[in-house]
Amino acid sequence: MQNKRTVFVCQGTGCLSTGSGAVYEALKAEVAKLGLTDVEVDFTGCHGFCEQGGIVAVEPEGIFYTHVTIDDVPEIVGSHLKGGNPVERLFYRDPATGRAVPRYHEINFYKKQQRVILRNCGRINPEKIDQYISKGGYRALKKALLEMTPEQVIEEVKRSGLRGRGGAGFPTGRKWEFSRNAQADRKYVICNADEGDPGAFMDRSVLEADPHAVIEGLITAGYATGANAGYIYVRAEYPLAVKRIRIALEHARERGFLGRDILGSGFDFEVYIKEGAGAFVCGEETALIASIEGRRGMPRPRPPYPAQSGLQGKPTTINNVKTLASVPPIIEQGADWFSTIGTPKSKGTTVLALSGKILNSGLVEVPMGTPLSTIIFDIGGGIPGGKRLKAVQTGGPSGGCIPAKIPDTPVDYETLTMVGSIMGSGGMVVMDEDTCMVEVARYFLSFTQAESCGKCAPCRLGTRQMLEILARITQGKAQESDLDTLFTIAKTVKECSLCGLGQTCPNPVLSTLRYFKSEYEAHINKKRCPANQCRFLRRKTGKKT
Amino acid sequence: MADLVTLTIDDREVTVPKGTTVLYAAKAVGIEIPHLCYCPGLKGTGACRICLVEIEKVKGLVVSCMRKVAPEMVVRTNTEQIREARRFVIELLLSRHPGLCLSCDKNGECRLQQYAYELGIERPSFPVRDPGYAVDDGNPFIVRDYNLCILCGRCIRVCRLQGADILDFMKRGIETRVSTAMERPLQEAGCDFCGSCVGVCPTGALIEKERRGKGRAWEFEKVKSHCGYCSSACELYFNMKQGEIVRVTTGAPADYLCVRGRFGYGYLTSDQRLTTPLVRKGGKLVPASWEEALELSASSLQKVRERYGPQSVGGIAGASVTNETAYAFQKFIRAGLKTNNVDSVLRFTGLNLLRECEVTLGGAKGYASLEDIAGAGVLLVIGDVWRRIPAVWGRIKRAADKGAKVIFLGFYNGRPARVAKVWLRALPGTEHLVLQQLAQEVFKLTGGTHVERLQVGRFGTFKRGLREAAGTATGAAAAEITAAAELWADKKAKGVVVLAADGVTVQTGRAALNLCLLTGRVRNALFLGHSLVNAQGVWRMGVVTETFPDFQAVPRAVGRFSRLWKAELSQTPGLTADEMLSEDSPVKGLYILGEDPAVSFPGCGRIAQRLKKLDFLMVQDLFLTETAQMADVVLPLSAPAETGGAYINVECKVRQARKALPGKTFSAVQVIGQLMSKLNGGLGTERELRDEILTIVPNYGAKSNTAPRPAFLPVDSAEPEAAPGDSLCLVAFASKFAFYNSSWSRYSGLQELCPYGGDFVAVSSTDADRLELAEGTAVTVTTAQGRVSTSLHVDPSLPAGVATMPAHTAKTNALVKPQAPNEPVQVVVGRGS
Ligand SMILES: Cc1cc2nc3c(=O)[nH]c(=O)nc-3n(C[C@H](O)[C@H](O)[C@H](O)COP(=O)(O)O)c2cc1C
Ligand code: SF4
Ligand code: SF4
Ligand code: SF4
Ligand code: FES
Repeated sequence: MQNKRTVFVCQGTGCLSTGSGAVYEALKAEVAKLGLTDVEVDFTGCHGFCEQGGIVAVEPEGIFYTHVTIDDVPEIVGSHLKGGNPVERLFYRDPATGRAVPRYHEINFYKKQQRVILRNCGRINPEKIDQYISKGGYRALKKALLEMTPEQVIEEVKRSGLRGRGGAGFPTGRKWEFSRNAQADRKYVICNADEGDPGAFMDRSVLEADPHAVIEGLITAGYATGANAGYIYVRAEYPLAVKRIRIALEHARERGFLGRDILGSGFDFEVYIKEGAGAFVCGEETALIASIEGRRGMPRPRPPYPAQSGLQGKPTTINNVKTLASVPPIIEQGADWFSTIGTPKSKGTTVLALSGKILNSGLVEVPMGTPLSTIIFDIGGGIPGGKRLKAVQTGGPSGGCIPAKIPDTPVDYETLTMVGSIMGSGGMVVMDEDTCMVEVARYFLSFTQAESCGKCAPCRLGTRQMLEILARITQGKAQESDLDTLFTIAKTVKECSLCGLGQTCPNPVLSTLRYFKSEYEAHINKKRCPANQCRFLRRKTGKKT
Repeated sequence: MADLVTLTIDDREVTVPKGTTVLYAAKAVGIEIPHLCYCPGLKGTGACRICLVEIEKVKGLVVSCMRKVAPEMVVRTNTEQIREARRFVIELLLSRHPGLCLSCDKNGECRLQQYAYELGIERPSFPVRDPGYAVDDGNPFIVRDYNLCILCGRCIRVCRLQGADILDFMKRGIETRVSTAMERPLQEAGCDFCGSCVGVCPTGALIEKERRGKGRAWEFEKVKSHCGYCSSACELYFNMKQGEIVRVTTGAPADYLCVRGRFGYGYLTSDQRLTTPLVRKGGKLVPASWEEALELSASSLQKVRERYGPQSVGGIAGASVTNETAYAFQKFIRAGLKTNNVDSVLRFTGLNLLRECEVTLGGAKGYASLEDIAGAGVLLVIGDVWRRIPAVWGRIKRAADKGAKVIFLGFYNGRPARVAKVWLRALPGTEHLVLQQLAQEVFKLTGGTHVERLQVGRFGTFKRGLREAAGTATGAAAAEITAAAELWADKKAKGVVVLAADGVTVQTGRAALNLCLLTGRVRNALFLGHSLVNAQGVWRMGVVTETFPDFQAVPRAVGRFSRLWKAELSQTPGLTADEMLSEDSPVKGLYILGEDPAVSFPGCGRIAQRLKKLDFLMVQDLFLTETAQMADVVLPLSAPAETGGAYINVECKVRQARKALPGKTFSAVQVIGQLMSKLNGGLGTERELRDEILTIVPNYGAKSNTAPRPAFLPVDSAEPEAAPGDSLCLVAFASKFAFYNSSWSRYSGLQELCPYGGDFVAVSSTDADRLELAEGTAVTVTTAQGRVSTSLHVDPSLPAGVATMPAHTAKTNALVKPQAPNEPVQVVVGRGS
């Protein structure tokens, strides 16, 4: 107890909503009142374990308190920080065993994770650039700008095997190279932080907890591609993220990481924030560009790709938040290190937002290729209430459902596509035996249908027709032939739509048709919902809603 | 060749220029790929997905309307998979298309219907739902039924292209639809009613209000003609059914027509058109036979002439008549009545400027075309030209979108000000001084190199003028003038000055032309617009006292024309229109053709008084105008679209029109011929007349063969008198919708689009507040010239201190200076009527 300790109060969006702002203030006041000079109270961004919030961690011991409210503050300060007795009742309790787990790294949820992208999340104060630097921050930028040519940076990223974390998984190094090779008087790089998937909050968490990681990645991307201006396109519903990016940009500028002649390298770079209006489709890169240009966010056909003709018609590189946050470690620790993580075709780690019928929900970062079962049972702690796993839906609203019968499916780009789903932005919804798969398909489609930008006919109208059929099925009003029609529409919408939204939104339908066709048939032929969820088809014994 | 690409489409080899789309390449070998959202002339968007094709080695289906050809590409346009996909998309579109083709006006030209047919869709696969949007027909011209809309976005793109840009998609998903901002009605949303959106809409969603229930495309005969309003003389097609105009269309669907061209044809078909001659009997105008009216006219004019001499008779014509009519008219006056008292409206609408530009630039070669504007690198736009010649605006916008630097000189915060790189906010009346100051700065940057190269005369006087203009306060900041000078001095940029000859003061026009000369821009560098369609032609045909046809001077060419016309001609120089109409003029008998001086000439009040004192007034017009109501004989006039004939448009090009509409009366040339034969001889047949014109004025003077005589024009640099205290200055400002000729606007419904039917005085919000006058208040407007009552309109685009009234209306003409209608005058606006 003689060493200096830091109490980190989580000030991520999730914890703040449990009142952790007041906890933070109260802790500071209490520590001051008791005159504990060896204790510093500070805050962090999201730990990714929001349902346990408010989270308070005491470092370097690694004590991890959960569900902390303002009433717990006197005890934490009095008993633990002053008296040396950690407060056991605030420890994390393993839902499977019921045991109290005092330390961060002993918790199953964290134990099996490998944090590259989230490396600093929950460990540093995002509003203090020094803490980022003390964790090795901006070393990669120095190396890139002062020791490497842009071509070498691109080569390193190419060799690392890094692929875009925004959904499509395009190799990042190659994307940069296209832009590098394009001839133009101006070029741009854009960080895509639109994150329109409902339930997704990985990008927000990274920006709130470790904004410098993204900024460092963005500057490096600018250097590599030859752009002198970067945009961070962030949804306006993320005010905290916007605030922290602003602060981070200011600090970075003060330290000479931004502006003219960065670190004496002769490279100039500026970053602008653009707040998006919040349409899902604005995350699509061409729609995003339109939106930055002040037009309605609607996609346009590619080619030309943004790397050829993007913002203001200039070569533009667009990368996801997590892609950019992966860049500094690659530059610093090398492509060889990075490419040891993951599978031959999908390198590095992926961040998943685990939710649904699962004991531990939250943000999970694992190496690419980690089997679904590891994620669900080891990290997620399994299904609550002793229910059976039925399916896992990955990739956000456009993802497919993977049935429980293939639980060892490795989570990487190729395999997920092969089984009819996508990596997408990393959403992962766990479903138990009480879930009606027809309803699941209907639910996701109702989202994409409403979010279709309306530009192209197959997506705008096809999703509507599918939705109508699905609604009929869940109401027991469908006919056998509707299934064929549904399949045909889904296939054609996928084939004919303009952008990724339309091309992927039939996935929930197609994958459930593929793996759970009998459930559809039961609704249609027997007027029965096997999971007994559909209101119109409830068995008499069921409770009324 | 490096920029040709060879590819294979449906097993056929095609070679096309690089950059061609697959859709176009296919067209080149006769393969029509269906398309809905793609429209020639508009940017591709890839929305409808009908034009999908397969390309070998490319994953998935590809939209051919946007994909560029590549060497060795192998394209299939019509596989079963593609047909399936297309059919599917059309079926989906039909699921939200509750229209009944049987009774739809677009039946027969609707593309949705066409493709449904081609793809063999017999009955809907999906239930058809009616979105239930209210149909909007709350404006005079366009009906919008978005229930039939397939969201191809053509209307949005064309509206952007033509420069109004008031439409966009709104909402998302199935609720997506086309709308103005905040769903305002078109009138309030800033719509120009150009009707371009109607022209491109592939379905029945947008149609012309007038055509409803009047038949289907296959019943219409499309007759090519030209718009008779402004000097652009845009090409248009009257769609005729049983002799009636059903609608107006363009050559290519996205071609531009302004509201006048597209919807303003009502004056042609109006039942108010004169069809029988009228003769004054017992103080009243009563119908008479042609014979009686013509006899009376000829003999009355003859009598006046015999009694009072050649200076006592004369003729004044408008500038909306064809070259043939203009020529016949002046020949009648000069050779029939044997006087040179023949003149036209040009006298009040920029004749001096037209003449000076013609001499300086050597005619046609010097003038810029609309496409020159669109392709310019730097544009100097002056005054209200974009309202007088509406086709100009789209070209300015297009140029600006492509990166052209626009300098706008004017006080009005309208569209050109918004796209301008530099806005020179001159106070009204100081425009020429701003241009002089601009020239001074340009001179500093460029020196006199171009001047020497082109041997431009009067350089010394010019430079002196620049020095005199220096430092005068104009409202334009010095820094702005410097910035503008840098743009204009860029010798690599193709530069065009855009102005309306009838919309600027002579000083401003001269100063603008000088700027062209200073930078060596003497070819296609001056867009010299005019409100009236045949200003160039009427003048070339000799309807100005000073010159016979082909600019032959009076009296020098009298001998030549006596021989040509085999007639004795007057040696005496004639009177100008304002001289003829002045208080003490010797004129006692007057023939007015296609013009309404009692309304449209500056100082119209006094002119009306003067007309009343004539011994004999004869008016030939489409309508019983104010002037016609004072006449002793009124003759019906044919419209150019009813007779055919030629114009010389603003680009100095011949616009040759065929007879497009059934005649309502005898052609003007026939009528004048009859009058002529009552005096001495005749005009011959219309054919002979045309041949005669073309011998005397080859190509109607559109190919000028005079050598340019570049010399700087003198500009008066005296400081304008400052307006005292709180009086405003009044400027005659072109209307957005209405037109020079108020009867045309009225009978075509154009005035309905104007605030208060075009009867208002506009002031800035600041002045409205200061004067405590609210929108719509009845006010009196007083200048040194006169006083009128009207309604107050608050126009936030006006700067404080400036009031405007619609140019060329009777009320405005009663207030402006008769000699200089474009000069601002001091005005007092006060409550009351
Ligand atoms: C409908 C739709 C929504 C998207 N939303 C996002 C998003 O919120 N964030 C994101 O990074 N990428 C999103 N994308 C993917 C982007 O278009 C783009 O591929 C990505 O930003 C590229 O970055 P990366 O290469 O780093 O993945 C979306 C794509 C589609 C079709
Ligand atoms: S697929 Fe959907 S979201 Fe994408 S462009 Fe088409 S309508 Fe818009
Ligand atoms: S009439 Fe012209 S300005 Fe009006 S909406 Fe249509 S295209 Fe736009
Ligand atoms: S109104 Fe006509 S042109 Fe406009 S989007 Fe609809 S169908 Fe297309
Ligand atoms: S015509 Fe090509 S997508 Fe519509």
